[in-house]
Amino acid sequence: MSINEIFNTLGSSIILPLFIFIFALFLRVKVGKAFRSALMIGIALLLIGILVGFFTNQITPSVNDMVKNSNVHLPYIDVGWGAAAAIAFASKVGLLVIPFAIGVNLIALVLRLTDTLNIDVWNYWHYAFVGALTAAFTGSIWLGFLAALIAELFSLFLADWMQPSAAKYYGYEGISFTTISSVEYIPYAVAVNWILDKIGIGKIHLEPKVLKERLQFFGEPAFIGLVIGLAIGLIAYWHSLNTFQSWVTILLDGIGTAAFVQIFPHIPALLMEGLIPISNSLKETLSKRKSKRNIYLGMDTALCVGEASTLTSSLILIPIAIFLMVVLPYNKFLWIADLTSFPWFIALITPITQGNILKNVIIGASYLAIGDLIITKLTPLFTQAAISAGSKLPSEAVGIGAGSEGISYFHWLIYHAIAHPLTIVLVFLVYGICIWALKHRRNAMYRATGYIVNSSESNQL
Amino acid sequence: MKEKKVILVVCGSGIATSTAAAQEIKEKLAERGIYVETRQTNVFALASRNFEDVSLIASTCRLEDDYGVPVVNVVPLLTGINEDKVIEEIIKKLL
Repeated sequence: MSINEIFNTLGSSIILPLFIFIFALFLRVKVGKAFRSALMIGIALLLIGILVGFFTNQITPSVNDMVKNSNVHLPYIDVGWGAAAAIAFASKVGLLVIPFAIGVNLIALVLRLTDTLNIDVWNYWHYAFVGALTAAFTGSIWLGFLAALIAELFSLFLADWMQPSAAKYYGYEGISFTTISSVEYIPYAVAVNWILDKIGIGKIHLEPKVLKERLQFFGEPAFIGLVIGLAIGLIAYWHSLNTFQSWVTILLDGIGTAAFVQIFPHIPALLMEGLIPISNSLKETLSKRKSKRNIYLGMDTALCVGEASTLTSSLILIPIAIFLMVVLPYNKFLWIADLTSFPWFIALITPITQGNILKNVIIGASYLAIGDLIITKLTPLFTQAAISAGSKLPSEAVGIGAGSEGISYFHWLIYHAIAHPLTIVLVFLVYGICIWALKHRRNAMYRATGYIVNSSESNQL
Repeated sequence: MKEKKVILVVCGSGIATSTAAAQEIKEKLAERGIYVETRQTNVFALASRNFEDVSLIASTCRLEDDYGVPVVNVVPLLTGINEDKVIEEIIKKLL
């Protein structure tokens, strides 16, 4: 039996826990704690596979009938970012991404390519995810690691660029935000924000308080799940509503989707629990080495999500996303589970617009129109990766994806760039220009992100 | 047996960051001989929740509304800077 065969037979819910156990011991985590970590991760991977299987089995026949019987042609089902995290950690890139990403970060710090030490080990899964899909796309693990490297370098650059503005707006000193699914929208938001200011839209302000209270029910995952599940069933069986069987299916679609959307996000919490001893041990080791240099600690944008403008803009985007997915002719993606992930999408746009909700929504909605095109292209690849990570899908399932990860132009660009040596060189050239701009055009760069550089500071910079 | 006090740990998702924070709170309080129970939730769900079951909200997000229970910002537990100050604040508001 080759190593590959052993790997595939045992599956990720055995292999990854073993790896985590050994890795934790290596980092001098106590045996009992390391074992518990490994166990939690094994349980999480197994449950993610089971739940995705349950949900797709419930909803796929109705989605297929909906596509057949109506104009709503949305065969790609949104199972949410939890599935993406499982794919990421279960892949061969995922096993090694933690030591790899830390190594890259430390080297980048020494070479002064970044001022951020990313201690948000949990979100390394985003790097692993880019790597995993690239490895699936190209068939090469090495290219997978190259993709993870590119994703990490750009996320560190974007975190540095955004640091003064985000830290000031949200009031977190010494912290930068590194989550890819937030930082990647900075350049787009800066560009659109500039255009909106030119045409005078920046002057219109919406008051978040009232809007927030009216829209709050959109933030309840179970509710969204129920409504979307019922809607799928109703559209699919519109012509046979006189039969009892149709109503049974419609109601089961509703409760099934609600159940999935409500409970599924809790499973990655087990993955997280398993990673805590490792990330704590790394955090301690890394922070001991802190030099005199001013280094930002890279954190998850989850810290920004509660702010009124970010929260309200994300809630407004939910009905807009549902509207767009139905009317955009090129879109095949059926948004469900990740409709509630918009706060991450918006979190770093808010400081750029200085909390202007109308601007946030225009930037968000216009990007979603592009994102729907990207996700429609990427979902077949995601489906393939999910199956190899252990999800049991019904044979007639057309495709599954994760909304928040799939709309990423970052991923899309990286997969395509990596296919050709020339474009890889181009990527590093762009990276070089970014680093140069942040060093030598610092004030202008900061100002573009909504940061007001005052005169005493600009003398020092 | 005296009932354990409940701390509600809040983050953006109610999953990732709050799990890390909850673990830290439980461990750090246990070191000082205080044993608490933690529950987790996300910022969206706060509006439709009542707080009769909790004695304190520990949040990694900036919370702007009044929930009728004391709120402590626990970001320092994640960064490791000024951890003790936050733990003291939790103890003070909890007891």
